[in-house]
Amino acid sequence: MASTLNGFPVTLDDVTSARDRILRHLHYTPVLTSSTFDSKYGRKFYFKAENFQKTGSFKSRGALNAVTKLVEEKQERVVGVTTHSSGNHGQALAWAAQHCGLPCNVIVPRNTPTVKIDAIKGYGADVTLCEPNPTSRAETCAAICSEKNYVYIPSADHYDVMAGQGTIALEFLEQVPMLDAILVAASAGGMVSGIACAAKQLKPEIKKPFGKDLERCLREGKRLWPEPPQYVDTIAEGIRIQQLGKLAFPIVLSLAEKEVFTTTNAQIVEGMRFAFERMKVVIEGASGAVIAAAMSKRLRRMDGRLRHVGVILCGGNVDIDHIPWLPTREA
Amino acid sequence: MSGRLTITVNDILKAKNRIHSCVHTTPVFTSSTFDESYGRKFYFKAENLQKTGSFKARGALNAVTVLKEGESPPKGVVTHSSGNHGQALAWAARMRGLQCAVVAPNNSPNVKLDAIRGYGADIVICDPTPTSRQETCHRIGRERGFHFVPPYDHPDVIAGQGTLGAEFLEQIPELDAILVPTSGGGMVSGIAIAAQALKPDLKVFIVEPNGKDVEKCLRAGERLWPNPPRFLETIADGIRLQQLGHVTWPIIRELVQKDVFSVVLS
Repeated sequence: MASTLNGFPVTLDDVTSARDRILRHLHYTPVLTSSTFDSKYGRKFYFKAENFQKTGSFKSRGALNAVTKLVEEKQERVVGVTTHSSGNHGQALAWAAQHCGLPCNVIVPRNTPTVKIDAIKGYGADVTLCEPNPTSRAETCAAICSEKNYVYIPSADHYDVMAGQGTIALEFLEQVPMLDAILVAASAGGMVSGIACAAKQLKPEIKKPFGKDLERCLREGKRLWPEPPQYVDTIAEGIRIQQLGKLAFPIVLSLAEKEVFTTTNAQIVEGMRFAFERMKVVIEGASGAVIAAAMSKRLRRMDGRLRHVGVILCGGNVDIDHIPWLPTREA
Repeated sequence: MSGRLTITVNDILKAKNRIHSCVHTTPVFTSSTFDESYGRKFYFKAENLQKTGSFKARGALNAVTVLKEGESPPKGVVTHSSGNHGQALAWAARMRGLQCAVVAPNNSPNVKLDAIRGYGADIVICDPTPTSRQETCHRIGRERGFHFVPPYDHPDVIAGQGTLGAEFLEQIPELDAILVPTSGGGMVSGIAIAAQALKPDLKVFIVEPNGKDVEKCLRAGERLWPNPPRFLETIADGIRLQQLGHVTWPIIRELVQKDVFSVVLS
């Protein structure tokens, strides 16, 4: 059940503290522009290149904030950390744990691209495979927690993770103070919650893959998704989760726009191709989805006063032998 | 022709003022993974993110701006190019309100030809030899009254590329060396001139496709390449020229390291 927020569960103070904690270990990512894109789509667009972030996605912000804070507060009592992840958060947590000198175990659906699994192992974490559905992820993770006494750090539904992701907004607003809106891909909603809390004055608009029905939920103010939690069928494997997280939902309901941009696989590919070919950047499907939203007729029809639009390129962890428009390269 | 054209860091600074507002100050990337694997601190100057997708925008815009601001600006500009300089010149001409024709070999990737047309320039196809490129280019220049802007053998182009070196040193003052892929040598010449003035200890190294034999030429102090000029077999289609240019050669002979990195790229 959704309720209106009393104040913000993630305050601006939480976000600036997160920034102080993590800034020197992360990249202050550049903002890219394309005059071609601007003339074609009729506004000024600013692409925040989190695909260049440590571990190849924005997730390192939230993971490092959560782990660092955990160690600050609990010290010797933290034995290790664990999570379940389609890849990017797993990699980010493995990196953050290694940074803080903690063991890490990541539960990963067995159909996750090999490049993502290898990256997680590359940061020194153990990987446990599970079935590719949200229930199996949660159950396998819970088992690891009790067996090894590790602390569970979720990929989104955690206020310290959201505060970490919110640092994107602080940076983005410093780099482009005139932003009128930000387009954000949403899976469980950690990034959009963090950004929304940090950028209260702005109008973060949410981007989602087709089938999520987020707009319906937001307009009715209720979680309308079926149980148990499902995956959406999309090539953007980073944003497959159908439901927003339980902590994220009230924040998104309260602070984000009700208009939600939906994308099909074909549109995601078009967004990715633009980034690769015209902007010369490598991005993964979820980022392609946000570019597709920026290209959409829906945005075109929106308020002309939204002159300066931010686009979060959330990650660049693609398997370069499995690019959607190219034939698969056999190893 | 002895000695070299005097292109100085002042030419580079003037170039910077001419082009600054139109080109990107490109970011410098780092990778801790790369540093650990290869044992030094590396800084990647991302000219792939430059206007038109390569560093060539710098030299082209500087040259076109000088022409436009001159006493009798031409109607347009013409060049021969495997792609990147053609695209850069087309863009630069459009920025300054001049016409542009680009002579391109018949084996140029379509994406590069489309991009050149996308900037409003006219494409003229020639045979894939350096001789055909030059002859076709001179003919078009005569017929249309267009001024020839070469891809590298021109002081304004070299000075424009040199702005890259000056920028890099501002961003990373602690640089000890720069690795520069080299075809005609416009970029490495410009960077070397900037480096000599701004940080004389900095070592500028050429990176070439296998078969260019620049090191042999530098150590002998002579152009040892066969004539007529040839293209090398390499997948790096932007650096196919075997010979360095005639304006760039004396600059490189004087200022660039004799150790050359030769990479097998076929």
